[in-house]
Amino acid sequence: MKQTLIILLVLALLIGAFLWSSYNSLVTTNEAVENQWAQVESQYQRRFDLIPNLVESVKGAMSQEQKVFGDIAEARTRYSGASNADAKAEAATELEGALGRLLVIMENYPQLKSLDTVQTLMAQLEGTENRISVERSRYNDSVKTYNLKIKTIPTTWIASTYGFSERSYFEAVSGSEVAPRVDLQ
Amino acid sequence: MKLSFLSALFLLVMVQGVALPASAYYSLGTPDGYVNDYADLLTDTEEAVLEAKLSAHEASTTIELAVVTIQSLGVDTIEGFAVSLFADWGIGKKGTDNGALLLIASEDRAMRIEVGYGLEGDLTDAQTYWIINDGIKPAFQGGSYSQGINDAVDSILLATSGGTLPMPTNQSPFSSGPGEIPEELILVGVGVLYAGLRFLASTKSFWLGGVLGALIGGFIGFLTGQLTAIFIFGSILGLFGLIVDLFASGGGGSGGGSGGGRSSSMSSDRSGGFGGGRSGGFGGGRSGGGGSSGRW
Repeated sequence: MKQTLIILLVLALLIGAFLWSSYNSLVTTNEAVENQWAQVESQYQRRFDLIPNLVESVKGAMSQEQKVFGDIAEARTRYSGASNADAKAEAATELEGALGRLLVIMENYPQLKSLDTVQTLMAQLEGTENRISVERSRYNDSVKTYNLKIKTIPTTWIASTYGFSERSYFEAVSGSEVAPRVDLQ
Repeated sequence: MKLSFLSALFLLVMVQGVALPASAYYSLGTPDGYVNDYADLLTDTEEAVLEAKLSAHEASTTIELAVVTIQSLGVDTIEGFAVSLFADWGIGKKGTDNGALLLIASEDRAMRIEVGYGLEGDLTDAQTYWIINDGIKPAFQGGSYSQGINDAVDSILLATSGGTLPMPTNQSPFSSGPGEIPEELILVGVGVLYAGLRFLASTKSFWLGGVLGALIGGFIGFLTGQLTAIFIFGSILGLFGLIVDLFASGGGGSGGGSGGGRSSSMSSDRSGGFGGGRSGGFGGGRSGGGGSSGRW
């Protein structure tokens, strides 16, 4: 009788410890994902702050290329108006495309590219693009860690009980692996 | 039956512990000081002078600037390689992230200054761009690696020492890995085990050792924060305790058994800590892709 009691007690303790630590680990990894997303967003913001400077300094010399400036302005407006993370990511992706087009078009203006101010702005923008890609891939890493916990035994039991759901990866922009085509009209 | 259950658990842990497939970065091994000239672009004297300069700078400002030359990037980009190497070595102090990396890939004719999070304000992307394009690039094109590297290092040191110095409280020159076990602790451990064996031998039961082992193992697993560890350590130490108790109850406890027990709980402690990755020299700083790259 006493033996059964001890065994039951030990079992209860083990299960309790298991529940406690698995719940906490889910919360911790979930927070890591949130934190990493904040890093991505702060780099997006940095990009949005830099772009007007670049646009201002090249706009005058590129008067025929109004469409790309219009696209950039529109994407910026949509980003500031975006209410959730998905909409923000979408606007950022759109901006990325427009910015890529602008950079390609700028290749046709060598006198512009040789300006110190333009070069500096381009360097800042390149740095920001690189930061974005670094933070994004770290975001995906943290999502992977989290999703593994959600999907594998034994944490998957706890996850379904407490409503932890799978999170989506930051997909590469479709078409971003190929250089943007320039449409000269 | 027990064995297959255990091996299944081990498999589970291995699946969970699989490292994320990194990009094409290949490890350069442990850093040897601040200057690591794998591509052999500098003479030994130049290296020594540069090393002295960088370590003096670290001593006075705690900023860690690493100069690394490699022959080839493989299939990686210079940006990807730099950020992976930075993370691998942990350049800069932990907490302040005040490190920077000057990476040169000689066959790819590519270079990059990667800036730690903590130095991004002092050493901006634009500054690194000008250091590369006005300093390193012309010197390298003229064939003088030493001049290009030294000019760049001087500019970086100047830019980074202009800012406010980091708090000395954040100074942790070498992160503590799994430390050595003090002798007293070993003596206490042996004493506890001996007492435990005596106790198990004195009880009538042959299973109490198993229960105690499972409890202790589960607790150790719980401390590591790994879920599966609770089960694994619980099962292993439970099984071990059962064997020990069977042995102890059957007559004479053995020293060999207790030795095995201690080392098994030790190795569990070790796998729980995150001490493995830190390599010598640098303090564990992080970077997030700031800086600039160039080619010559």
